[in-house]
Amino acid sequence: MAYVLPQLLIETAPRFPEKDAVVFQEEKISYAQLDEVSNRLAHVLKQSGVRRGDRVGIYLNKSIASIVSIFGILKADAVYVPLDPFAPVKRLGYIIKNCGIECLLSAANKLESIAAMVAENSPLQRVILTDHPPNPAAPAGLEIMGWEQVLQASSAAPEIKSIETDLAYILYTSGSTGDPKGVMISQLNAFTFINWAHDAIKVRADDRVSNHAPLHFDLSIFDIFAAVKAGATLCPVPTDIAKFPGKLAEFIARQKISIWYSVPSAWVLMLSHGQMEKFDFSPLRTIIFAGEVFPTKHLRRLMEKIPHAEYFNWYGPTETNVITSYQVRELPRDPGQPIPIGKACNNMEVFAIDDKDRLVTAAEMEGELLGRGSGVAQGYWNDVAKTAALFVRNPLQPHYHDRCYRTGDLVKMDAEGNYIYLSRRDHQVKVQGYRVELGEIEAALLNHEEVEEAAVVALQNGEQVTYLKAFVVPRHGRTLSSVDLMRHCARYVPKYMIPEVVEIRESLPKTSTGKTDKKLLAASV
Amino acid sequence: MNEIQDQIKNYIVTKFAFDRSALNPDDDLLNQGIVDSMGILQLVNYIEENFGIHIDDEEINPDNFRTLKALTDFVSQKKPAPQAA
Repeated sequence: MAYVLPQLLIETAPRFPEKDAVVFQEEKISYAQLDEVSNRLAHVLKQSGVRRGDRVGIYLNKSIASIVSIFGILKADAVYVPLDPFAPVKRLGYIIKNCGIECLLSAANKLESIAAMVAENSPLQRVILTDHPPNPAAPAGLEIMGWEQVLQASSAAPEIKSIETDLAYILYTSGSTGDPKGVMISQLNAFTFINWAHDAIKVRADDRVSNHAPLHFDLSIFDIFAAVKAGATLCPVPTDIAKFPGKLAEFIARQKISIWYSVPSAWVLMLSHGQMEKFDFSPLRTIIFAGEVFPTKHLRRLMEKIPHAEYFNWYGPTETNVITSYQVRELPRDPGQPIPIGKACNNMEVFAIDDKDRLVTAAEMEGELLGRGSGVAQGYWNDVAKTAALFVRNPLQPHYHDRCYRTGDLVKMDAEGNYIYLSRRDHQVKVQGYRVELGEIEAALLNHEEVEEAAVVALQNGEQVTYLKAFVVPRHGRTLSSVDLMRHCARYVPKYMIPEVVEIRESLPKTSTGKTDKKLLAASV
Repeated sequence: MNEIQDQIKNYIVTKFAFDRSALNPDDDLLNQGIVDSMGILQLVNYIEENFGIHIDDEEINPDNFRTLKALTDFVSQKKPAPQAA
């Protein structure tokens, strides 16, 4: 029975060798081919010096090559680190240094960005190109390997030494003090989620599973590994198509997607501009959403348009992957009532502790949600302090060290025992489903020489869509334009973290304890 | 035609292309992360409001939005040219 992720592919390939494992635009790869080429990549990685537990980066757009890379790295007993293909080079350079990436899987059109990333003392030594450029220009100090070398390597199955407590991948998330933090996910963490999800959704070999989320977002873990476990076909959504609601709706219909998992905003866009009536969604049997609240009025419209599908609301931070699930059957009459995050998944547990350290057991109580079980991640890479603060000993278990994760989400319970999300304790928000620490954006703004103070708040527009607004106080006597400040942010944080609006102020209001009064700022029109 | 291109270019550079020094008419807006999915709709709203035209849902596609030039051509053919005085 599989206990490390590459074994899912190794077990599926002989069962369905000719079946399409991945289809992408005009290309496809069978399970036998995926198994074989990932073997070859694993050998090349090991021969080039990748050792067990080494972090290997993936810096690619959506492609078959990125899926091959994941399995090749795992088969080499290494840890894959997906890098957001559209993040600023500064941020990616930080990640490469932070977890010591020496080898990167990438493509020729990214070499210029890679050169910019390694400018300052980077551990990166080698880039393996997954495309076939004729004469790739190697950035200074880096070795470039072409894909021909991979195709010439042995296709024999490499010996896999990893065990379930080894790391499988590291996903970087927004960090409140300015730098992203790497969540360390072990093989066992991944399996805890994948085994539950595969069974809960009953993924089968005849399913066609989309992959809308980027690889650095943990929704992709379900797409890729539940599909491979079942022998289903994975259909990554091309980046272009994902931006156009009509094209996205057409993709789902044309590709006969049967299981779709995404953030709610993908559907909100399709509902408003996707001309969904033009397309046949009858193969779509399961729609799963996570990452942010799905406004009830939009979900209602979706359920009216695709009434035959089963709908699931999944909840869980990157540090646990999905930990609770709620099947949406009927919607609350009152559009203001939130859809519950539900109950713990099989083999996982959640509980909430209120501010008097009592367990939340009844509908009037509110508390912070904690997750426990083998799905709880190993911590943050190289950050003992942050890890200790959030990965804590179970306060309800005196006899042994039972690791829990403090989600920072405030919840309550309904009469049926479903948890309902209320709010955050801190300054973390969701924008388009992505996790954003307001502090990371504030830190980026404060990096600007002419910025004296900065505060960022999250607001909602008329459509219940969250957007970011920054308030900036320039240094005495200096003038700043909001465009300059947005440009400045773009060098540090990904697009979805750049404030939509920047307001220049002479000063920021303070609370009685001297902190910036964000409530007042958020309320000011 | 140039005025249309300049206006669209100015909007994109101000709203999206923060980290670029220049936006060329043939630069791919879609594959390099310059405009994301929220950005496409913001661009649609801007074009409708600024040029007084209506964009049909099926016109919101990669062909019309891939480059500054494509956008300019698209807007020009929707917007009737002013009559010579």
